[in-house]
Amino acid sequence: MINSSKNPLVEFQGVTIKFFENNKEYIAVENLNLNMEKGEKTAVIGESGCGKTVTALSLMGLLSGSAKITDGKILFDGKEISTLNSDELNKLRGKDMSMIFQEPMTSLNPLIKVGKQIDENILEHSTNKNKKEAKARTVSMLKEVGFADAEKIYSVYPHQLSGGMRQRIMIAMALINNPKLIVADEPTTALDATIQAQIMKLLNKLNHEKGTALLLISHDLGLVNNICEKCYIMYAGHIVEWGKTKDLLENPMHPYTKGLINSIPSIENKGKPLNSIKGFVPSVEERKNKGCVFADRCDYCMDICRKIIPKDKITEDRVIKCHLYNEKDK
Amino acid sequence: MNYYLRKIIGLFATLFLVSLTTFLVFQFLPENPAEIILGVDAEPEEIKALEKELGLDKSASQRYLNWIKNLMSGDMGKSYRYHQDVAKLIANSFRVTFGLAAMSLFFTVLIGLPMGIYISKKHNKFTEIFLSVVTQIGYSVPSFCMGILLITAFSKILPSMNYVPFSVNPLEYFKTMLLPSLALALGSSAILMRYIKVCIDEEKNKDYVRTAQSKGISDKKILKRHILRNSLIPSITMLGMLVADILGGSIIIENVFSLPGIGKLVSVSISTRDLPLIQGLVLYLAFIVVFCNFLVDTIYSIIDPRIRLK
Amino acid sequence: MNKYSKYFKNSNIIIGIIFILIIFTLMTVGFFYTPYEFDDINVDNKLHFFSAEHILGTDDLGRDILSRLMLASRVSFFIGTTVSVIGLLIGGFLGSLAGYFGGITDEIIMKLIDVQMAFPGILIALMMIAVFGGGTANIVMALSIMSVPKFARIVRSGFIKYKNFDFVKAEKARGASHLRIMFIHIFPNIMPEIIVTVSLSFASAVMSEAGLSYLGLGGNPTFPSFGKMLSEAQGVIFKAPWYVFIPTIAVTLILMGFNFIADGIRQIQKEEKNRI
Repeated sequence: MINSSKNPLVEFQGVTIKFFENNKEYIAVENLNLNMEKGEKTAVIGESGCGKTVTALSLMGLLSGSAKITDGKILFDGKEISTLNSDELNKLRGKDMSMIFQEPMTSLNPLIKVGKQIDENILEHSTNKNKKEAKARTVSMLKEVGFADAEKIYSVYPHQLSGGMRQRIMIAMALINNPKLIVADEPTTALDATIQAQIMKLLNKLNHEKGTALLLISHDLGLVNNICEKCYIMYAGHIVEWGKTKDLLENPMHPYTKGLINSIPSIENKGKPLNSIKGFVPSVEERKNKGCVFADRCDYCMDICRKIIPKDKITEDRVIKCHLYNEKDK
Repeated sequence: MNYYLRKIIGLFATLFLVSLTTFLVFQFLPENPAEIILGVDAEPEEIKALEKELGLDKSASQRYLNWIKNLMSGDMGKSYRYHQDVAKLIANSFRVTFGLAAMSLFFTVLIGLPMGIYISKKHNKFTEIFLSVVTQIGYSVPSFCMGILLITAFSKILPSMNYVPFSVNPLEYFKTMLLPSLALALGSSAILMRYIKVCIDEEKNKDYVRTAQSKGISDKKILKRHILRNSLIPSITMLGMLVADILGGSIIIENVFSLPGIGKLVSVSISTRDLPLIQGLVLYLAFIVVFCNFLVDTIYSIIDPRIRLK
Repeated sequence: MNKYSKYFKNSNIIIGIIFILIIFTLMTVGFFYTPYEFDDINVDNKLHFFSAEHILGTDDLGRDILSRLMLASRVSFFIGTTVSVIGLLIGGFLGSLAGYFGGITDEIIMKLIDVQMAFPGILIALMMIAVFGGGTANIVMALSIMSVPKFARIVRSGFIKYKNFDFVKAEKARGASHLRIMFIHIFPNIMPEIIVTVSLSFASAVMSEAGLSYLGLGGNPTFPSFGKMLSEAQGVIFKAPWYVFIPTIAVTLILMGFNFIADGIRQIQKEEKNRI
C-alpha cells in the first residue's frame, strides 16, 4: 500500500489547523495526512490560498500567533513538533530542518552582510564558535551554490544582489548545516522564468548530493515533475489526491488535478485556448463545512458532492478524495 | 550623482532659503529701524545719518548680499540694547542652551529607548493602557508646565538657584540643569518610547525575522541581532525631529528656570525690539535645525547601506 | 450601522471628547455667568485656597480663579479654532496643488515647507511678533503659518495616493474638471487624516498660545489666559503651590482631549486597514 512507510522522516497525522481571529475560527487545513521518507522529495501542489504555506510553517513550528494546530500531530524524525518548547524547536530549526521562502527580496536582513547571515546559522548550531572557520565554511558553501567570487559575495549586502542570487544565498543558508529536510515554499515563484529553472536545478542537485529530503511547495505541477517522486494535490485545506508524480501527471483522477494539468501550457495544445478551472479558491471565511470542498468549481459535480464530504479512496498507488471513485457513493 | 554631494547641495539650498526667508520677514517691518533705535522724537537728520550707517538707503537685494557677506565673516551686526556684537552674545548664550539640549537629549534616549524596547515585548491589556496614558501625558503636558510642576515638586530637594557654569562648579551646574532638562526630556522620551515600540512591532512582522526563526535563532537573539538595528534606524530620524522640538521647547524652559541661554535672549530681544539680535537668533536656531537634519540623514546613510543607492 | 457610529464607540475618542467638554462647558457657562468679575481685585482676600465662595481659590490680587479660568478658556478655544481652520484652508490648498499637479509645483511648495520646518517650536511666531508686534490677530496669523505644513503634507500624500486610483482616473476620462475631482472624490477619502491633523494642530496652537502668553507675548494683556495664569502662579509658587495646577490641568485637558481623539481615529483607521 502507498500509505505504509518504512523509514519515516515527516508524518502529518490527521492535522487540522485553524485561525482564530476576532473570536471566530477559520479552518485553514483540515485532517491532513502526509508522509515523507528520509531523503525523499515530495511536492505539495495547489493554487494560492489552499493552505500549502500554512502546512509548511506548521512543520517548522513557525505558525503565527493566531493559527493553531487543533487536531492531529506532526512528527519530524520521531519528535512531535507541537509538543516541543521553543528551545527544543530552535535546536531542530536551521540544523535538522531548514526553510527557503517565497520572497527572496525581503527574506534576508537588509542591514547584515549576506555572509554573516549564513555564519549566524553555523555558529548558532555548533559548539565551535570560531568565526574564521565559520567564514571558511560559508565561503565554500557559497561556491557550491554557484558564486564564483564567493569571497566578494560574502561581504555584500542583500540589496546589491538580484532575486535569483538572493535565493541562492537562501539555499546556501538552508543547506549549510546539512539538514535532514529542506522545506521550500514556492522558491522560484518570485523569479524570472530563466532563473527559475536554474534555481530548481541547483536545489535538486544539492539535495541529491547530500541526501537531503525536500518538501517542495508549489502551484506549478510542471515544475516539480522532474524533481519530486511524490506529489500531494491540495485544495482549500484538503489533500484531494496524492501519489507518484509521474502517475499523477499521466493519469490524473481527481477533477481538480485534471484541471491543474490542463491549465499547464504545452506544445500539444499550441494554438488552442488555455484551459483553466472555473472560479476561484474560496477564502477561509467562505468555505462551507458541507460536502466536497471542490464541488462549486467541479465539472463533474453530483448531488452527493454537495452533501457529504468524500472519504479517501486508497488504491495501490493512489489516494483520492472524490465521490466519482467511490463505487458505493454513485 | 553622488549621494553625499546631492545632500550637501540640498543643505546649502535650504540654508540659502532659510536666510532669505528670515531677511524678507524683517523687510515687512512697519517702522523704520533707525526710528526704533533713536526713538520717535529724534531729529530727521539724525535718522538719515543712522539709516546711511545701517545701509538702509540701499536696495533690498544689496542689503541681503551685504548681510550674507557679513554673516560669512561672523559679523551679525550689533545689538541695539546690549551694544555688543550679536555673534558674541549668541555664542555666550549658546553654551547654556547647548548643555540643556544635550542633557535633555541624553535623558530622552536614556528613558525612551529602554522603555520602548521593554514595552514592545509585553502584549497585554495593562501595558497597552500604561503606554497610552504615559504617551498621552508626554504629548499633552507642555514642557514649561512640566517645568513649573517639577519646581513645585522638588522645591525642597533642589531649590531653584542661579545658573552656574560647568567650568566654575560642575556639581552645581548639573543641579541647576537637572530639572529643566528633565522637563524637556519627559515629553520627548514618551514620544520616542512610543515610536520605538511601533517600529519594533512593524519589524517583527517582516520576512527576514521569519528567516531568522527558521534558522533556529531564539526570540531574544532575534530581537538583539536583527530587529533592534532595523527598527532603530527610523528612530534616528525621530531623534532629529526631537532635537528641533527640544530647541523650540528650550526657548520657554529657559525663561521658566531663568537660564541665561538663547531662549532667554530671544524673549528679552523681543520685548526690547532688538531687531539685529532677533534676526541673528532666528537665523542661528534655524541653521542648527537644518544642520541637525543633515547630520541625521548622514548617520542614517552610514547605518543603512540601502539609502545611498536611492 | 451608521458610518460614523464606530467613531463614537472608540474609548479614546470618548475620553477625548469628555476632556474637551469639561473646558468647553466652563467656557460656555462663562459667556452667561461668572461667579465674580474676572478683574475684581480684593487684596484682603488673596491666595485663598478652594472654598465655597471661591471654588478654585483666589490669586495674588484676590481675583476669583474660576472666573478667570472661564474667560481664559475662550482665548484657547478661539486661537485653536481659527488657527486650525486657517491652517487647513491654506495647507489644504497648497497640499492639493502639490499633490495633484506634481512636478515643479510640487517641488516648490515642498521646499517652502521644508524651509518653514527649519524654524523650531514657536520661533516663527516669535519672529513675527518681533516684526509686526503682539496682538491676537498677529498671533493667529503666526500660529496658522506654523500649522500649514502638517496640513499640506497630509493632503499632498492623500492626493498622490488617490490620484492613480481607478475611480479618479475614470472620472478624469469622463472629462470631470480638476476641481471637481479634487473636492468630490479625493477629500472624502482623506477626511479621517484631515480630522486627525485638525485635532493635532488645534492642540499645538493651544500649547503655543499658552507658551507665548506665559512669556508675556500673548494677545490682549488685560484679558486672562492660561499662559498668563501659569506665569502668575509661578510667581507665588511657594506661597500657593496649588495654583499652578489649575491652569496646567486646564491646558492639559484640552491638549489631551484632542490628542486622544487623534489617537482614536488613527486606531480605527489602522484596524480597518488590517481588515483589508
